[in-house]
Amino acid sequence: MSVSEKQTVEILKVLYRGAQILILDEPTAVLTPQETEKLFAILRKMKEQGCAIIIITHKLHEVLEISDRVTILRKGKSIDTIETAQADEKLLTELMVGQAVSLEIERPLIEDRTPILKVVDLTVTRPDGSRASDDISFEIRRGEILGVAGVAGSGQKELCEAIAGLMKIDKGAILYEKENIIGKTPAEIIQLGISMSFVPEDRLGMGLVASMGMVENMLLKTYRNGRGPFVDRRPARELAEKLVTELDIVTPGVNTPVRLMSGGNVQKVLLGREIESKPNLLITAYPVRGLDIHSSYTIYDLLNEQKKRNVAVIFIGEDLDVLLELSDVIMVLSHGKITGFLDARKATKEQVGLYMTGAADKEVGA
Amino acid sequence: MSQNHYNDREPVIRVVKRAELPDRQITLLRLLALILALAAGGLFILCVGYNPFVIYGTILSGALRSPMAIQATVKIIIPLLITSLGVTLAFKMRFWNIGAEGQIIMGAVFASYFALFHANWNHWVLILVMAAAGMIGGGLWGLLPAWFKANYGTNETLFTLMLNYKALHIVSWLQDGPWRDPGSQGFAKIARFDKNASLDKVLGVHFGWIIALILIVIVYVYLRYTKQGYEISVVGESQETARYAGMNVKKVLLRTMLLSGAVCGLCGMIQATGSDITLTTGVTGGVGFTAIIVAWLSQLNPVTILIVSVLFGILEKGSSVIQSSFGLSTDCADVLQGIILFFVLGCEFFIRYRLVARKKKDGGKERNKGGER
Repeated sequence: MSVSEKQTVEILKVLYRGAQILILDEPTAVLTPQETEKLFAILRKMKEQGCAIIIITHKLHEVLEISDRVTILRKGKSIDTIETAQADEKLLTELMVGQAVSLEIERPLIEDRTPILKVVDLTVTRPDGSRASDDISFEIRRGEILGVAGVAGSGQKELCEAIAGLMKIDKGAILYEKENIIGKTPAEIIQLGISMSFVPEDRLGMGLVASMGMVENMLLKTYRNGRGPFVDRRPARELAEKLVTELDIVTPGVNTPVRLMSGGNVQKVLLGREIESKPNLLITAYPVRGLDIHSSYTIYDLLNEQKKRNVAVIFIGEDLDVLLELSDVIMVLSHGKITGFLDARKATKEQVGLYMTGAADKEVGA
Repeated sequence: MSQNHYNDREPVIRVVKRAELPDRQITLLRLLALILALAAGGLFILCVGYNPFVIYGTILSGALRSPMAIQATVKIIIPLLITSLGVTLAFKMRFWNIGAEGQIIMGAVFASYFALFHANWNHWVLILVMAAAGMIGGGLWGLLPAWFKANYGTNETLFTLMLNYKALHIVSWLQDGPWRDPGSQGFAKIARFDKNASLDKVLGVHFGWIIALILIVIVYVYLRYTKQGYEISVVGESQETARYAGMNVKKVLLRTMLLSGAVCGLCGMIQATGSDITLTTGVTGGVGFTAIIVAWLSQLNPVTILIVSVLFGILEKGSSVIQSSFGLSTDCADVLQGIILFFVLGCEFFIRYRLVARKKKDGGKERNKGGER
């Protein structure tokens, strides 16, 4: 069963039990736009039959599309409840952030783009035997943001891990500056300037050590530097302090365990560290997961800044609107296969959605 | 509505995870637990018919009243302290090494070989060789479960535990067979070591105590300030993260268990050559297990381990004194130790969790959550 079918069953189950109130928490994260449309049609029907529905989402256009009234929460406080008919994205954002923000994501164009990473016929198998990446080939250039779209679990995580050297590769090659990096250890790949920041559902996952403070976490990839058996914590402390001021990270102290910090701040720590390692290729997956708008835009700015510094960025995202506005090229994954490359400046959400289900004809060319 | 049966299922008391407490409050809680433990223990002593103040006083004075008593207490503390440091290395990596017993024994066995058959070597060379042999013996005994875990994902808790019995049987075999003291009639035992092969005394106690103190500093610095120590804490927190950071998890696992076993093995060498001057099946005296409690009570902090070991040593030595001077049975002393441990360990639970009593029913209208994600 597909995810959207599973979700429909889930909803049916609840209705069957005679539920009058339905609470949905980010129901569209795993759906394509088309499937989302279907879900919304079901919800509208339920509404007509007299159900009350609460939908929690971070996608503003969904709020505007489906809801009758909208309650805005900020830091655990209810800010306001308004009729959706009188709201628009700008107003909602202002209420969420508490100040006016621009919703434009800038997209600088870098002229000189030399290829840096080439993935050829990459095939990766998950431990359970299923194909996570099936014959994937693509190329990314310096000064370019490659957006990766696809419903959750289409092989994004495994693609990241394969490039970072954490997954066993069945077939294919990964050429970094024309050199095959398959078989290199993760440490060697880090040395080459490939940096990955994957933000999993639980946010801390593999990028950070939850019980350690910022200083210790800064050391994660650099603790080997310097001679002798001892770890030099001074540069890490300086880096942590620098990140706190530059990225407005809110924390009681640089030694406070990161698990006590809020999600947005944790993500800033993670991304900040990766960027400070001055990578040539930055892989970032779901960097704005669960973040408020304000922090999200800080992250987009950070990524753009990297792009301007001629860094190649692979951006794996959930929100198609953002992907379309931020990326240069969009690569769509479906069940581990690449179903299409789209020029992000011209493509529409519906097009991407079609590729996400694998419905559109395979089309090559960036 | 008909769905309030969901509420009836809520238990009278629930366990709820606490938000993290500030350090000062945690220290206060621990102190409170200690006071409660002494009070409860006192109540117990009262029930058996003695004055708790006198008994507690005797425990303290019994352990510290004379230089001789202090020397005896220190002798109890040494193996406990060293072994706690050893298991701490593994525990920092979340590797449940409950095989310290076996590692101590193997350390003692390896060292005993030189004590028995090369007793004519130069004294200091012999001591150094025995120490190295002890560390190698314990280290290999610790390496074995780590190797299987790294390669086949075996459960280290069972593995290390079972190796304890293997080690024990090896000693039994040695004393019944190849290493049997020919001078002993009927009773199978291993010969007493030559004086040349036993540890020298410093201030009346074999110099194991100096090694223990040095080890505290080494383990503290190793875990706190070295790259390898940093790797241990990252691997302990999450192997995924360690791999992501480019660490060779397997290597860290093997290396750390080798070290953990080596420290325990060194303890075995010190016990055999310093305290027992021979090798018996009772070489560990159970410290391999007590050390686990000491290490956790100390939050895996080497300096705190020193304090906790000293307290344990005093309790144990003091208990033996109340046994002899009041005729209190060994069991009573054990109960007393048990009560104190119960409160102190129970306190750790209340630092992390709290109990919430069920609230009175408020109409019972609350529904089952609409299960949707």
